[in-house]
Amino acid sequence: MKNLKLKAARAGMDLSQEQLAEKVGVTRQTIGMIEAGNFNPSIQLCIAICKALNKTLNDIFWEDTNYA
Amino acid sequence: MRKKKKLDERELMEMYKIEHYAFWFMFWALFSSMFIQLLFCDASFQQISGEWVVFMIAAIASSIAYYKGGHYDYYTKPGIKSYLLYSIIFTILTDVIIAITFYIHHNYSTIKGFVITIAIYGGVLFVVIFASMAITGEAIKKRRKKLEEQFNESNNHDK
Repeated sequence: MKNLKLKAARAGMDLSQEQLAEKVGVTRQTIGMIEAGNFNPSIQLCIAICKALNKTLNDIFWEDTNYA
Repeated sequence: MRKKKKLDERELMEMYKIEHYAFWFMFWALFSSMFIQLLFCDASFQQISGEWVVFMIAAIASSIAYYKGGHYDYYTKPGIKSYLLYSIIFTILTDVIIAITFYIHHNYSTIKGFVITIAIYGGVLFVVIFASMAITGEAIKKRRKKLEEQFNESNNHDK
């Protein structure tokens, strides 16, 4: 599942994928794969990303489920 | 001194996956190589001893590591059902191999003798495989309990 919240948060901070990757200590490809939903980061990496973007885990990584 | 890896967690996981498939390919390729040489190329044990040593090191090292971690199988849990299932599967597979080997290398005057021989081998194999699986399965169950208790004890110390 694509992580659009991460993409939006990154854009909100005016950061490229490469810049965010450098801040967090991973490769640009990893950030790209997380945003595309092709890789599930560990909780440590999630926290590192949230800290870099000044967001909480809920803001970026919580899945919205629609209850009918 | 341990060198710090220059890979992030995603790259590390991808490399582990590659190494996982490569290991299992090599493991079964070694097994097949020994099997084919012994069965169809009339090779002696001495000729395949190198492959056998490498194969056994890999098999024993993996088994010890699995036991230490309390790991049993990808698809089943240790129990009578899985012991029976795997015993039947491996008995049939091994018995077929034995049947082919015996058919190639021996001259049976009647088919009855051949069938009885294969049946006896099958029976013995089933018992041996079942017993081995039961012993290792129960050992892994005990190991898992010990590992669970280990973490419970460390939590109590934090309190």
